[in-house]
Amino acid sequence: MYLLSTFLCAYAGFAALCAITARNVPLAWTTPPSRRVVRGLRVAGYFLLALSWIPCYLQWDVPMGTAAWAMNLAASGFALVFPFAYAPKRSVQAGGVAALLAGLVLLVS
Amino acid sequence: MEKSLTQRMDWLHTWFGLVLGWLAFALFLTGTIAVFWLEIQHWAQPELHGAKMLSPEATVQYSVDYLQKVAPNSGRWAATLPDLDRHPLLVLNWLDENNAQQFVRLVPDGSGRKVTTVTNGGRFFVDFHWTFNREVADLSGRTFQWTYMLSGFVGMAFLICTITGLIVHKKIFRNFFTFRRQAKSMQTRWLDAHNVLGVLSWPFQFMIVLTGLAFYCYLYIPTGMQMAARSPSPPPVAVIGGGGPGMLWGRYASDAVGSVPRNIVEPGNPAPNVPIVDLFARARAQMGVLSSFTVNNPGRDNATVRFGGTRARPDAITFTSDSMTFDGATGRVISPAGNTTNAVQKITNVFGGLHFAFFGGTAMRVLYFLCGAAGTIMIASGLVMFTAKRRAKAKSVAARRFYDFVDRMNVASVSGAMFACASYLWALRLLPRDLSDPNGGFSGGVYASIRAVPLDQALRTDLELYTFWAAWGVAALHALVRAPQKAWAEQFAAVAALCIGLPALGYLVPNCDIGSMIAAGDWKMVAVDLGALSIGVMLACAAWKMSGKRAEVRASKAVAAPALQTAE
Repeated sequence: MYLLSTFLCAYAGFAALCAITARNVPLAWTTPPSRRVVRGLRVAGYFLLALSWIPCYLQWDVPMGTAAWAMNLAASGFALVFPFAYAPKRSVQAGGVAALLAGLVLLVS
Repeated sequence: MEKSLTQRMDWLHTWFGLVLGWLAFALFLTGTIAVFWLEIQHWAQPELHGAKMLSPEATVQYSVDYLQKVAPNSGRWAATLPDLDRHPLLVLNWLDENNAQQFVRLVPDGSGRKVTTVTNGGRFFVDFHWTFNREVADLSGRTFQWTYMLSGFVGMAFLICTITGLIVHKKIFRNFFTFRRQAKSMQTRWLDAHNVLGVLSWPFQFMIVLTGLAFYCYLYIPTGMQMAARSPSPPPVAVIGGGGPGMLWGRYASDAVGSVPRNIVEPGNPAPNVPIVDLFARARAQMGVLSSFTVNNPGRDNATVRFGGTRARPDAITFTSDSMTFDGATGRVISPAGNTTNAVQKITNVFGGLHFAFFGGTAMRVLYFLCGAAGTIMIASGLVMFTAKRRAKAKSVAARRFYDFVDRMNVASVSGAMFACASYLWALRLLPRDLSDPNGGFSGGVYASIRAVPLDQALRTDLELYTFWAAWGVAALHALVRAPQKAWAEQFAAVAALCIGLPALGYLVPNCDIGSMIAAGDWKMVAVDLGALSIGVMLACAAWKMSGKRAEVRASKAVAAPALQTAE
């Protein structure tokens, strides 16, 4: 369950960063986001990526947890990038749901 | 004009990637499968399927009772204890009245059932991954052997490619989430796939290759070991599970039948011994998971009992080599736990632990598998991109011929290796159990090594390996004679069929059908079947796409739609 929480949290972080990447803005947004939104998503993205380390730590402790976190970042990145090519808006919006679910899963773990 | 750093690195990345990528793909593929080698070993031994295993303490008691029954007067008993989570096989060793080593493989369920299927199982993937199944005569690095040198060279080339890949990839952050699946140029699509797979999993790829190279660096740069060979070597310290000092490999192979050391102390007088299961509990409290025990002069007043901690622990990244020895008659600790390991060995142990992925449980191994699969697909996409990028620009006949050759080699190496692995799994399931040599085993060196013997004398283990290599040979021939586009689709379809058919195949072999195993709760066995099935489905989709049938269906739909509208 901790691993699922990590995965969802990292997905949410990547989705926030993906949505504000210059190349992806026209794909992910109907109207371009304001600077404030971009800054907010950037901070949220990096914060969520860092936060996704915590469930790994809770499951495995620092050395093993860090190794698992690095691999999990790759897995959640793939889970975002390839679907994004097919359904960009939905993939990014799923990031919000993933962030909520990550918290819920962490609470029940 | 002098070339820029990026151009020079591009050349290195391209040509190292191409020439060694053909081999690197097979090494990555088998390495990725090898993450679950113990589960595959379990899957390949039907006797173990669905059995209700004993607890660790009950297993020790069962082992002692068994040894007491078959060898009450032996000078030495030894047991390699089962890994109850991954591959529950119990191996018991003893010295008979002539001091010859005897052993038996048992199902640790207390029934006395023997495991008679002697197989390379999942170990094959581990050994192919670094020796191409050639026997390693000397693991101490004192003699040169091309097999592991070649895999080391491929590993080094891959390491160079991971670094040069970062240098030539100019817009890492800008293109971090870029996969343009509808790009007009086929080259762009392949490039995006290659970049995404490589960049996102870069830390893993770098770590896995570096640790693989560092773990066996004394083999790849053997000067130190060769210098050491000039000095008189210390007497070998053999331990159960194989291997001597500095040799890390054999000790955690749970199917290993290790050689029992012969330096036996003269037996003392008969005397009551402390129950071994009590000593086991004491040792486990100090060392955690235990993998073996050895009893010298059991039932005598000079009995000693040595417990070995497991080499690869689920709760620590690093390999360990702890042991504890008791006086069997009094229960006094002769040698406490907490051995001293030198600094070099400690670092090597961490590299080994990171590379072999025994830590962290199934969830961690799933992550290793996913990242390994990403690396494998990244290599394949790089190989395909080589010709996708150049073929259209080829002006001379020689260039076109060369790209045609590369295309065929790509098919032979990528889908050929997958076909060979899938065929090997079929061989594990279908080859008759009675072809096994019950006395066959492994005592030092590499287990899954190929031998050249006539077919009528070949054992099950030989035939398994012949199947793998023959299947790869057939796939390579097919790739050479068939147009590459068709060969890709056909071979992917064949691999998909083999993978999808694997669970069904279990119904032809006793105690291997997935339905009963689900009912019995043997999820290790079920997971291998379901894993193969899901990979097969993905490959079938890829084959469908490659065959061009999907495009034809789309085109026919596009044509059909206006006709229907007109009729309305």
